[in-house]
Amino acid sequence: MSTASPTLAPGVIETVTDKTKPALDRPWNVVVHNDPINLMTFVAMVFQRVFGYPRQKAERLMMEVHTRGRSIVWTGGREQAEHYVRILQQYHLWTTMEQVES
Amino acid sequence: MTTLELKRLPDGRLCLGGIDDGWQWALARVPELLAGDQPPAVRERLLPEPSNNTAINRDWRELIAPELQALWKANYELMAADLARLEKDPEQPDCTRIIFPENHAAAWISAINQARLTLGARWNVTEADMNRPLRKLGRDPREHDILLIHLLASVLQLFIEASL
Repeated sequence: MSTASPTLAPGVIETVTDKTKPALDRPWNVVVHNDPINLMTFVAMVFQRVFGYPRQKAERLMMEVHTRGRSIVWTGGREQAEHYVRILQQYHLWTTMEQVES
Repeated sequence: MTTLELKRLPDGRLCLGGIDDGWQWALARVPELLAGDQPPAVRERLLPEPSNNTAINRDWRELIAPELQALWKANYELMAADLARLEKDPEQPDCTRIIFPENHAAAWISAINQARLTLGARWNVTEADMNRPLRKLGRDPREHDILLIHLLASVLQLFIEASL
């Protein structure tokens, strides 16, 4: 990683424009998609284990996956989203991540 | 087929009992199905690209996918090793049982679920296929494997109930 500072005239404060900031800061959704094979009980169990969600919330999200075809199960920073996608795919849930639209 | 039973022994180990010839065949199919190369449809289902971001997907293919494949392989190999230790079930004549440490349960869950998904992806099994009554399933290889997906679901359910 480079440690060089950008060249700025003395006394000039660099500002981050609104055009660049949102792309960096916008959070990521972790999305679980429906598939015909995974058991509903299994999907709910995974949500409880991975996110520590209470049973009721895990079952609500599972039903959303089943009835709507997908559910946003977590939203947050990119690194953590990648971690959750990895864990959910480890459990064989069909999982993707997408950046929240501005 | 008999009714399988999964119980916890006093020493904490798990015992899967009531395994007749039919169950023995179904369980043995799990590691068989998962060994070796899989068709593209199976790989796409088990390791879908996680995003529409090129850099994330590249890292995924290079770093995460091989790691997951190694983990899954270790899981089905552990299940295969347990299956090699079938013994006579003293509680059910003509049946066998397997006793294994509780910490093998996660590997069994992973391998059984992966086998179900592998069959589903190989045959492009749909929700409608899964909702058909078992008695209406035919005898061709696809229908046969849909029946196996259901059989393995009942084993998986035992493990889920035991782990909740």
